[in-house]
This record gives sequence, C-alpha cells and structure tokens, in this order.
Amino acid sequence: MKRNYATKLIVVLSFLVLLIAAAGSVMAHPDYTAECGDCHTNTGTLTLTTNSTVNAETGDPFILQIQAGNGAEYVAIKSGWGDNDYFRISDTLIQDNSVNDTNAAVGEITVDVTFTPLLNGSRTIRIWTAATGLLGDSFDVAVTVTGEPSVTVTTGPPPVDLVGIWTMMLYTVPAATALILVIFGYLALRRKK
Amino acid sequence: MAIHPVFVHFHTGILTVAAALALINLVLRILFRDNINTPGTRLAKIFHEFDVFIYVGSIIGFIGLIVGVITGFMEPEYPLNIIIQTPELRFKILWSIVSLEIFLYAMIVRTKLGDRVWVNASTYFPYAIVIMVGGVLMMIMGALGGILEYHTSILKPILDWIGIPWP
Repeated sequence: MKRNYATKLIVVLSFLVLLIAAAGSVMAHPDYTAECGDCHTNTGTLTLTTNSTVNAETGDPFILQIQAGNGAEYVAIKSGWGDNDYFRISDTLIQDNSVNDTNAAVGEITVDVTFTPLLNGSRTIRIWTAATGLLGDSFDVAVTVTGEPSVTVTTGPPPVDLVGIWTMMLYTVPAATALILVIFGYLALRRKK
Repeated sequence: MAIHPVFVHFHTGILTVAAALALINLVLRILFRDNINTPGTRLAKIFHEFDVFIYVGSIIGFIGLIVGVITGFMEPEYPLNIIIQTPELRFKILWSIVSLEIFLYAMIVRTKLGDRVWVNASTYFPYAIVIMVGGVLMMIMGALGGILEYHTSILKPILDWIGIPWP
C-alpha cells in the first residue's frame, strides 16, 4: 500500500471511529419517562418543602426558596416534568454544597430559584430531590399565571414587543443576507470578457 | 427543553474550524501569494488541504444545520409559541436561517469555481469572510444552547470581554 493511501486510510478510519463512538453515545431508555421516580423508587425519607401555591403574572419572575433535607444530594427542576416547560428556570439542577446551595450542612440543600412564567394558565411546577440508594421525593407547586398587568401611559412606556421585532427580523435579515450573497455570487461567477 | 441529539452538534464544530481555516487561508493568500501558487511546496499543500476542508466542511455543515433545525422543532412538549418566548432560541432560529444561506452560497461558489475561488480578490474576500461570519454565528449558537441547558459556556469570558451581554 502506498504511504499516501495509508495516511488517508488512517484519517478516514479515525473519523469513522469517532462517528460510531458519537452515534453509540446517544442512548435511549424507552422505559424511563424522564422523571426521577423511575429510578429513585424509595420515597418518603427525604424532605422537600417550598410554597405549595403561587399567583404569578406572565413575564414577571418570582422566587421560590426550596429546602431539601434528611440526606438530599440533589434538587432538580427539569423540563418535561409537570408544566416546567412553561417557565424559564434560573437553575435546573442544584447539588448539595454547590455554589447556589446556601445551607452548608451535608445532606441539606437550601436554594432560591427564580421562575419566569411564559404563558397564562394554571400550571404545576414539579421539583424532585434525590440521593443515592434509590432515594427520591417530589413536590408540586400549583401556580396560577395571569396576564401582564395593564400598562397605562402614566405608569411608563409600553413593553417592547420583542417577539414582534423578531418576527419582522425573521423576514428582513435573511432577505438582506440573500441579497448580499447574490451580489457576491454574481461578482464571483460572472463571465469575464 | 428542545434538545438536539449529541450527534447533531458535530457540524457546529466543523463549521467553526472551517471559519478558522478560512481566516488562515485568507492571511496566507494575502501574505504568501507566490508560495501558495507553487505546486509541491509545503505551504501550497497546507493551503490546498485547508481549502478542501472548508469546502467539505461547508457541505457537511449545511446538511448538519438542516438536521439541527428539524430536530430543534421535534420536541412535542415544547411548541413553537413557547420556543419564541425565549430570547436565546429566537436568536438561534433567526441566525440558523442566515447560516444556511451563507453555507449554501459557499457550496455553490466553491463547486462552480473549484480552487480558482482563491484567484481574484473579488471572490476570495467574500468567500472567506462569509464563512468566518457563518462559523462565528454557529459558535455563538452552540454557546447559547449550552447556556440554555447548563447555564454556562466556555465562551462566556470571551464574550464578556468583548462586551456582548449574556442572558
């Protein structure tokens, strides 16, 4: 085999190994429905408390102080659980004694998490705490989200319609880019006399 | 959260590397014009290999971008009216479309002209610059995805330093 071919073969095989390794790393467990309770089946020993009901307004952030104890190692508020997708959440996974845990004791977590409601309606925030040995527990917070307060001229300018601006940009920016690229393309591909 | 499978993230890396190589090739083209045109020299070989990477990378990146866009909208619990409430995702949607246009342009021009794309300044400047812009956009979009999911990114110090505000 020529040396040239050997180098190319090594490069191609390396890329294939990388490709297979990457594809192999994408695993799915169809039995797991994303909530901790699938694995952490020993419930009732860890403690988890916060407000059980909250009234909020769309776009206005509110803070929940979440306290977990009796051996808790993690507090998680992941997307897909309850109606968590309807909120922007400042911290979705807090480990015991990590930066945001304000309780220095081992096995106890106290954390302030900011939630921003995205849409009106009655929503449920689902929080889980978990530890080794299949220990886990969840807590649901019922949140009633109403519309934004009416803004009058005397209380300040109306809120900026960011989604509206974005929708306009969604048409204008790609159109402007296309125009520029067509000009570049014409300059590059025109036949020279 | 709408999450792409890990496999879909490769094109971000490929296109970012393509942007870096486009910058290097542009500098080589300007500074060492004679050497890169002399067949058999080491510099000419490196220049040619970088050029091929940029071309092939643009093709792989373009396909990856399309897959990324499709999988980004596949999360059933994350409908479009919620996605567009999040500024990071609005940024990703808008600039993904622009990136698609950029790499489509790069593919067409490079396919039509071959390595003659590096002959005239009217061709190689736009070609290299749009690939750099596309690569940087891809890098920022990757960082935003990281921030959405993990609340941090290795790009954060760089963009803090430049002065680009983070969500």
